[in-house]
Amino acid sequence: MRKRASLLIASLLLLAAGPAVFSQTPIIAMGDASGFPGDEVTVRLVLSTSGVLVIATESAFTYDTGRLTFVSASVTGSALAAGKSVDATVSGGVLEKLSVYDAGSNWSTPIDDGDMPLLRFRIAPTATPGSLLTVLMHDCTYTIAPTATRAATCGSGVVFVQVAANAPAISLGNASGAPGANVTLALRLATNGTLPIATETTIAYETSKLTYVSAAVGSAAAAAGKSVDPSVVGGVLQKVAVYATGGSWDTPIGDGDLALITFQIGAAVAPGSTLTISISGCKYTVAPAATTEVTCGSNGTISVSGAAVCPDADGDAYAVCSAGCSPAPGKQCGDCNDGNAAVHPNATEACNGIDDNCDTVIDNGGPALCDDGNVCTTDACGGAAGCSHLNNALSCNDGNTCTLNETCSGGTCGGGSARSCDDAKACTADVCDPVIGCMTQTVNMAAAEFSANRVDGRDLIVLADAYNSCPNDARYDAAANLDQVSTLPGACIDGTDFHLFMNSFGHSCP
Amino acid sequence: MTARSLFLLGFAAALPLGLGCGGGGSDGGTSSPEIACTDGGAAAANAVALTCGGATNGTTEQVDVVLGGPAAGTTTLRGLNFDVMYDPAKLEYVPAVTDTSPLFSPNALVAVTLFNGQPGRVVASIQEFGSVVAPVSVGTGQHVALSLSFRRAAGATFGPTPLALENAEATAASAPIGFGSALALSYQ
Repeated sequence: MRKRASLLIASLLLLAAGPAVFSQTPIIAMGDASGFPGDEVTVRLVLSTSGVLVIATESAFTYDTGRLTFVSASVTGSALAAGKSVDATVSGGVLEKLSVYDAGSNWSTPIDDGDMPLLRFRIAPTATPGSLLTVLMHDCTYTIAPTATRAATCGSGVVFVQVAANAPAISLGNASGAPGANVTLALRLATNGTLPIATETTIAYETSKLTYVSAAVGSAAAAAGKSVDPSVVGGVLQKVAVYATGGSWDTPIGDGDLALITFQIGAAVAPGSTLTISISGCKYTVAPAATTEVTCGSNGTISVSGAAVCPDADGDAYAVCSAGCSPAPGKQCGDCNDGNAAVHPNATEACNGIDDNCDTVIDNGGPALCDDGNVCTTDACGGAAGCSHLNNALSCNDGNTCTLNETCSGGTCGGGSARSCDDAKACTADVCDPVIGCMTQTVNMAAAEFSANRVDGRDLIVLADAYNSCPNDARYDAAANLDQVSTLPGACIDGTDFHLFMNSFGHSCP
Repeated sequence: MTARSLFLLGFAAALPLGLGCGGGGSDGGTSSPEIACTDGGAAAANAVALTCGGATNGTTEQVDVVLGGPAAGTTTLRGLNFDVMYDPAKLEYVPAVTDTSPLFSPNALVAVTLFNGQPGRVVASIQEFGSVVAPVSVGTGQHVALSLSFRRAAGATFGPTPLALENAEATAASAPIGFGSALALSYQ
């Protein structure tokens, strides 16, 4: 009843206004906004009725969904005063349409000029600073009655992605150390409210006094999943880049250490001096194609302190010491040749004409240094000419217990005579194992009746039954393994065993 | 010594009493002496006997160890063991270069030698090896298992002297195998 009355009043108002009412078109405008990458910004919609009664509006939107993310819509201003609500149509997180209306008692209340909904968007962290992100509003309509919807004029808005008001600062810290020592300086980042995802810094230093050792990722960079990429040419550090190529590429780096750079102070650098490591070309990146160079912060300094470190040029952990220096931690004095890492105290002396172990004796050990472990060669040390190994004709042992009186020939041990394992017992098979030596086994394998005390056909039956069998065969009989070879293939009962058997065949056994 | 071997020895020792001279015997002193052999004829069924194998020259005789097959069907066995006794004052055993058995398979193990290397007893054995080789199947008829050679001892002249079997037995035979010898050699 109330709704019908309102409709009637509205219709009367429309008639009273006459054709002039429709000569004007309401304007739904959109305000601009600005923010830094990663910020949320608010975009205002503003209604200008142009004297037309507007009880509801509707607008469609198109915008760069890769750089702007719709967050929310809320009613405010004149729309709120007219009791309207806002209804956002969102598909897949993308704002498609926005309606301002009232389905309740205020449905026919006209909206005055002024603010309508407030839209909130988030600017992507990767949005390029300084770029303009347009939010296009189109297909705007207004309603003067439930069945009277007409086109309104749309005005699009712009979101400006701000360049950070305060650029990030990259600086290098300080360190101190003695000559010869390693020192580490921190490359630091102060974001100043920016969201850098990568940095690059050019490094310069006196290469005659400092030696680049390493660069490790700093705590702030590590927390953002970054890596450090030092650019080193000829052992000289040129640049330090901090970035990530994987899933953390767009994660902003917070305040803190970007990288830890280690140098070795030259052993000859005078204590008390200060070494400067200059930084330049400081750049930061907030998006892959948005790299900005900023003024670098402070350079790094190294205060050279303490006594000089005794040099260890060859890196063998033994330094050449003098009264004016001390060996670096973990190193010892006493190197007699700092240009050869193989020469130092406790080194193994070799036959080479050099005092390898710094005991002042060259080739200390003589022929023993050239021992090749072969008794059939006579070893000698010839200084710088190295070892010689001349064949000899000494008595030797070839390791085979079945040979006796071996001699050296041509550098190898051999010859000699076969060892006899004959135990003078007719009924045993006597064999020689190269490792074990002499072994005997009875051939009188059957011990009943006439065969009890002699080797005869009954024993041959035992051998024949097992003949051509090997260990693990069902027919195998260890008693018939007369050559006593324990492993295959010699362990099989075969012609060798028959040959040994025949040596005893036909003999009586006491 | 078993009862059976005693029987065999006694049987062999009695042979000269019942056997006459055979082969090339003396003709009253006008001809050169030759070795002569007499035997008991063919081996009986399922029995081993020594038979004359023929003179290889005037002083050497081949003696065959013959297995008589069964009267019908077959008999199987895996080997034979036996000793051949002889008088070393009259005969000398002549070892073969290689001992083989015509009856058993070519791969059978054959061992023949003088007992303790001393003349008077030849120890012989023929065995098929392993149960993987089928036993020999012997049909009817006469089957030479082994051939041995004997020659007269140097300077000996003698009438019939027996060759006897001792310690004789068959291996894994499907029927009882008997052993006997009625063979005698003479040189006069």
